[in-house]
Amino acid sequence: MDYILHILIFILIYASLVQSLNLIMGYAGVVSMCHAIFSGIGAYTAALISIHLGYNFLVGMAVGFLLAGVTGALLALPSLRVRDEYLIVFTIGFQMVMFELMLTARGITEGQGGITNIPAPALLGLEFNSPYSFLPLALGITIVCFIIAWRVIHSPFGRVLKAIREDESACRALGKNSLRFKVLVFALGGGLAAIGGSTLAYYLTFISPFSFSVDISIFLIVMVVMGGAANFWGPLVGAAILVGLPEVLRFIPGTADIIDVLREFLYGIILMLFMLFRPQGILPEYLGRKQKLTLPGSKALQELGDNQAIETPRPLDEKNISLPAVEIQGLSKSFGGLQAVKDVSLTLPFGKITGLIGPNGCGKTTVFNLITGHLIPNGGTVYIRGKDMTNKPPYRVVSSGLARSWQDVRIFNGMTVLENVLVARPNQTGESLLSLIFKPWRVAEEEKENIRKAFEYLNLVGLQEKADQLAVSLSPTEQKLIALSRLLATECPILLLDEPTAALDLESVKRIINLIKKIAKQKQKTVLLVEHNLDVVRGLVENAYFMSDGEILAHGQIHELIADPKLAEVYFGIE
Amino acid sequence: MDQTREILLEVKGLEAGYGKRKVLYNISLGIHSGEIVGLIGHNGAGKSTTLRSIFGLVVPSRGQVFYMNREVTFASCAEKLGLGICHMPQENFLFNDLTIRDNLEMAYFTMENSSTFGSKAKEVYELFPVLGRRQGQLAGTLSGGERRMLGIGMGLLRQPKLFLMDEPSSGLSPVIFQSVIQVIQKINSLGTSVFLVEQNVKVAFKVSQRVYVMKAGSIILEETGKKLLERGEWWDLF
Amino acid sequence: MKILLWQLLVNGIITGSLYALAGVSWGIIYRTTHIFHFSHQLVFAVAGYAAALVTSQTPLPFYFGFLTAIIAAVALGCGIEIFLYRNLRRLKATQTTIFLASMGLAIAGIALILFFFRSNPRSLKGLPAIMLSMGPTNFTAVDLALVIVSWIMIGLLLLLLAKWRYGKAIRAVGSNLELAKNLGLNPENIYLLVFAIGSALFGIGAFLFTARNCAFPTMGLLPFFMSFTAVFLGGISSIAGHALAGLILGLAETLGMIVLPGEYRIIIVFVILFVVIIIKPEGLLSPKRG
Repeated sequence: MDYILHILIFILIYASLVQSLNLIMGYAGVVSMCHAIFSGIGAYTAALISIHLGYNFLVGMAVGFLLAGVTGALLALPSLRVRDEYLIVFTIGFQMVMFELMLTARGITEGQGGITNIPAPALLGLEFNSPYSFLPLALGITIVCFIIAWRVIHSPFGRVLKAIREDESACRALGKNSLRFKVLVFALGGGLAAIGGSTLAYYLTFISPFSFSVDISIFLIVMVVMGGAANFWGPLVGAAILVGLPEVLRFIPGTADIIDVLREFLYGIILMLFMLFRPQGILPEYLGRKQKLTLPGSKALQELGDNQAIETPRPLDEKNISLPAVEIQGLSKSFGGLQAVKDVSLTLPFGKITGLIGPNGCGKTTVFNLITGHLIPNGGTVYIRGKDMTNKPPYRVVSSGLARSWQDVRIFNGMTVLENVLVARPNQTGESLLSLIFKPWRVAEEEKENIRKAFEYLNLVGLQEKADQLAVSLSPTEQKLIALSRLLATECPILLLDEPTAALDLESVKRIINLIKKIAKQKQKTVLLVEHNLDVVRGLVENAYFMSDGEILAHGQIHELIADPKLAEVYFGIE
Repeated sequence: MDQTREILLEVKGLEAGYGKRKVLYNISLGIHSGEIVGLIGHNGAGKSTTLRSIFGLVVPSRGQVFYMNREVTFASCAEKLGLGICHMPQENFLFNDLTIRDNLEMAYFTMENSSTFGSKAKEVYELFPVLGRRQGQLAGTLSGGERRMLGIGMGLLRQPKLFLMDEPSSGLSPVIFQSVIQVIQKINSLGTSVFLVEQNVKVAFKVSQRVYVMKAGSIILEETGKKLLERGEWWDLF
Repeated sequence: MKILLWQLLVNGIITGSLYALAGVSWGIIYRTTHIFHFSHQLVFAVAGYAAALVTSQTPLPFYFGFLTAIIAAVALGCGIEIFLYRNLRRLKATQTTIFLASMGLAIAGIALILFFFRSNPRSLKGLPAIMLSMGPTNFTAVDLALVIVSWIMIGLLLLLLAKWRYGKAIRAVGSNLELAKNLGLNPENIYLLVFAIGSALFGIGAFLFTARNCAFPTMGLLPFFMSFTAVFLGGISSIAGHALAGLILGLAETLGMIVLPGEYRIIIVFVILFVVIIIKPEGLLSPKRG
């Protein structure tokens, strides 16, 4: 009986560890090969504090949590700036280095032999020093970890994590500072792992570096993957199977001495077979194409969305009309020796659609990227609504009121249509971890309001019926509508549209033109449109800039530009 | 279409795209032996994708491609090269880390008889002497015009019957482009048909017997180069 | 003290030569296929064991061990490509999925070795045990062979890549896959070739390693870690860079012993890697990306 309790405790502890890794790997999409180290930090901290300082186990756990959290953040900060392959290398390196330290820093960790005689946890007179008494404690700790994970996952913060996993660039272009999110999830995941590790220390009353080796880190990865990455119950399933099953093996005669090897072999085979035949794991992230909207009151809000009357436009603010929304002066950019953009100046008048046209390779996309902060200019200035936004990163540009769409759409395939639009909503209190803890009511209120607005924008493009479907399952035209809706949801008054009708057939092009026209007018958006299909330009644009070879050659109304023989020569070529 | 000359390439109802994104909608066209046929249209209209689906870099989702009356819709690039079709992409058409000679060698790689490479390469060097003088130079260090010459040379090595060219003018000054056009006309006179996607439409009209115009994935017009040139005004085609 | 320095230098060159060979063996695979071939360590272990077994269980001389190592390595490496990676590519698996599958195979494979051979190390029999010396330093004939063979192999690889038709095709596929397909090259064949070459080189390394030490189940771990460290340190695109970086790592590891005690060697290596990647992500010896 004790033995079964022992296994259950292990399953619970590992479930917490795996859930903490799930946050990093499953939800944020970052592979970490060093997760066992965070668990180790928790274990050693708890052990040392309890032994040398004699404080209650909760103190040891709390300090371990903080220490691991800080370590996670420090590791993540430099690592997350580099390419994915390098991150794997970094985490492997961190695992190896820390393991070596655990073995060799005998003064602190007592090296190979490990630390023994860790005092069993005690609270209010109760001592948890047997499997029977420890089980409720382990259960309680695991429940707490799971609740924390639940709160984070089903929150605006968790939503941004998923968006980062799906397409980090697109997520940044919606105004999210993705680095901050990734660092925080590493910190939180590390901290929760530390809690699991300290629980292990208090249960076994003995720890050694070998509980936190690279084998264990890999073991945790196998459990995440097998249970189902980005599924909330996946960690429990993974832990139950991979901790429980090898124990069953013990009862098979003759396996006693080879059980370790057999276990390793099974882990490896399971990992390989799952990657080949079921990479999503036992419990996939979403079951089925349609997702139950788990957001509160969503059904009622959906109906509310259907009955939304078309908003009457606010009267144009006199002051706004005279000031240009965007003013660009003397922008330049060169790549190596090639000057892509030379001394480009343009002005976007408030509330109007301006076009940017020119032959292929004239530098339109580069100008775009310079305005939005995806490229750093070599010279010149970008003023957005009177503020200097030159050289600012994309998420700052978005918060100043300018957002962009992508030629290749870039919606978040693995999220629902509604989530795609919701993630774009600005200033979400729920994106701050501290607010999730201390201001839960504000977060809930905002979420309700954001859902209402999201449905409003889905309504505008006619996608409200499909709000609960995964974005990947919609047609390409519908996906462009999702992107448009998402862009509007940012509430940015200035929109940069990058070839919004690319890869659409003639009919769909007409529909999108009309939709953009209607929305831009209704919402008084200032738009800069880059398009190669001149039908679109003619249909939408009042004024346009003509670019060639990195320079602005002309500016004026479309019919004026078309009538200019010099521009025709540039566009159609010289004989 | 001219009924008197034999049809070299025929495309019927071609549809293709990238994943779920469809780019070509019901494309039908034809190229006769000895013709230069142009393909123009706004960026993103599907011109490059048309060439790539004909050549096999993109697998069509619908429709058929016939070459010399044989269906080749799903034939691989290697098979098409063997049949005498070659394709020069708009960008990234050279191995920058390989020398001029090595680039040509790679273009000849799938030929069964690799010993004839030497003589074929010599022919290319005769056409483009500057390449012959700098055989050992890395392709990444060549000028725009030289790069384009090498790209065309790589296509010519196998003496193709049909050369699919994607915007040979991109990255070239008008003067250099003129010499490239002369090369295209020369190889045409020697028997190679050319399907020419071009951004510089006036030149495309001048040099092509017929031109197809594409917009948003469909062909909106087919006309002789001469008639299109006479128009003088083409904004409505874009 | 000075004598110690020279000896450490020599040891560093020996270790560094092995790491250089390891680096190019993994680098050629990574650069051409972009697969993070985690099971490369399994290939090393299998090759080492094969060599040890052949020389100890049969009366065949030690160069048969050399051949066996290469054959075993190539068979396993190509087998992994054909049965695992090709299928994963066909299923459009992500890089992460491929990495994890490769890791799974490596773990399972090493467990199998542990099962069959236990953890008792196996050594190569039949090697001449000659001690040599140069000035104040000492090393064995096997050590010398390791250095010579490693650099001959690296040189041979560079030569093949530069002059051999298929070598150029390998560079072409690694440099511009789309264009290679456009010219009719079959990437699958090139990938198989690259796995064969990379595995063969690592198999040779395994033979030399076993000759110098012995074969044990986790023998591939350190050489594998050094191999990808060398690749990222030297810059992915340059094979010569991988070799040079491997040599630097070997020297750093050994000479680092002057400053820190033996167990901290790995720390030095990874700290170097961290710092270099942060400052110059494209690697020490690659041209700066424009």
